[in-house]
Amino acid sequence: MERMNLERLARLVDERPTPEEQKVLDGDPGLRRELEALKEQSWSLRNLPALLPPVGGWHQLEKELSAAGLIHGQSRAAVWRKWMQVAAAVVLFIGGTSVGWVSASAGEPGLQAGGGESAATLASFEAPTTIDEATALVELKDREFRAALAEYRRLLLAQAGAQPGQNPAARLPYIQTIAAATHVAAEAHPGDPFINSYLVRVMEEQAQALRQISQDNWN
Amino acid sequence: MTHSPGKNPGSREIEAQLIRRACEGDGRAVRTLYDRYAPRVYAVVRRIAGDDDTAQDYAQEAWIRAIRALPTFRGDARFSTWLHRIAVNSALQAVRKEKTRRMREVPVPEVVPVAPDVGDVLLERRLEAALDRLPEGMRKVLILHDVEGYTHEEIGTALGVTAGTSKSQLFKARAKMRRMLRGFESSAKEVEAWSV
Repeated sequence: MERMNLERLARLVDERPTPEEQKVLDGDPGLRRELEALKEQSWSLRNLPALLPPVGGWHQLEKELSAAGLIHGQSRAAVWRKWMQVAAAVVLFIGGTSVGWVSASAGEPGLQAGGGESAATLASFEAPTTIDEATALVELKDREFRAALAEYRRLLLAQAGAQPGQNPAARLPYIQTIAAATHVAAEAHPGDPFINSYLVRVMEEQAQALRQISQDNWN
Repeated sequence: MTHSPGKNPGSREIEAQLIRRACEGDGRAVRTLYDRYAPRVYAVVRRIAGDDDTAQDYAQEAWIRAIRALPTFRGDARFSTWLHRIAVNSALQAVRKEKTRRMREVPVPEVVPVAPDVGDVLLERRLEAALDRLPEGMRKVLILHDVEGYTHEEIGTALGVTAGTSKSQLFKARAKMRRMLRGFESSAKEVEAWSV
C-alpha cells in the first residue's frame, strides 16, 4: 500500500482505519502525527466561539422589522435612548438653573436662563452667602438629582421588563451603548490613557456578556 | 445535530413567553431574543458567507425570516436549534443566489498570512482565516460538519447533494485546511527558533 495522503488521513478523523491502514499508520510516526494534527484541527473547529455581531446590527434590524410590520413598541434600546434624552434634558435644566442662579446672584438679568421653572425652583432655595454654602447647595442638589435619575431609570426599566445586572442579555444593550460611546471618545482622543483603558474594560465586559449569553442559551 | 436541554427548566418557560410576545410583535421581546442568540446566528452565517459585509446582510435576512416564521415555531425542538436551522438555510440560500448572480473566483493561497502570536485567540483567528480561504463548497460542508455538528445526511439535505459527496468534500476541506495551517506552523517555528 502506498503512503496515505492527507485526504485519506482526514477520513480517519472520525472513521476507524482498515487493518491495512492501521498497519501503515503503525509503521509511520509522521503519519500518526499528521492524523493527530487533523483531529486537533477538527476539535478546534468544533469549539470555535460565537462571533460578535456588528455594532448597530440591532438598530438596522429593528428598522427593517418595523417597516415590515413585524414588530411594534419600544425595545429596551429605544427605552435606553429615551432615558438618555430625558437625562440630558434634566442635566440641561439643572445647568440652566445653576447659570440662572449665578447670574441672579451677580445682579445680571440671567434669571431667565433656566426658564420659568428655574425661577420657581430658585424661589425655594435658601440663598447661600458664602462659597462653602454655595458648594453645599450644589452638592445637595447633585445628590437629589442623582437619586431622582436613579429612580427614574428604575421605573423605566421596570416598565420595559428589564432588570440590568440580573442576566447578561438584559445588560448587553447597555454595555453596547457604553462601548459605542467609548469608541467614539477613543477615536476623538486616541492617546488618552483613561479613555483607552476604559474602552478595554468595556470591550472585555461586552465579550464576557456575549460569551455568557452564548453558553447559557445555546448549548 | 443535537443540543442538550436547558439547564434551568424555568428558563424554557421564560423563553416560551418571550416567543409568544415576539409573535405578537413585541419589539422588546424580539430584542431580548436577538441579544441572546445574535452571536451564534452571526457566527454561523459569517463562516458560511466568508466575509463581514456579506455576513451582516445574511444575518439580517436570517433574523427577518425567523421573526416572520415565529408563529410556526411549535416548541418541538429548542428555539436555539430552530433558529440555527433558519440561519443556516437562509445563509446557504443567499450564497446560492449570490453565486448565480456573479461567479467569483478567489485565488486560494497555500499558507494563511496571519502574523505569529501566542494563545487560543491566534488559533481561532488562523482557523477563521483558513475557513474564509476555502473554496465555497468545501467551506460549507466543513462548517456544517466540523463546526456545527451536522451529519452527512443533514448536510446532503441542506445542500442538495448526496451524503457521499458531503463526505468527499469534507475530507478535501480538512486536508486543505491542514495544509494551510501547517504552513503557518512551520513559519511560527522559524520565528521561535530565531527568538531563542
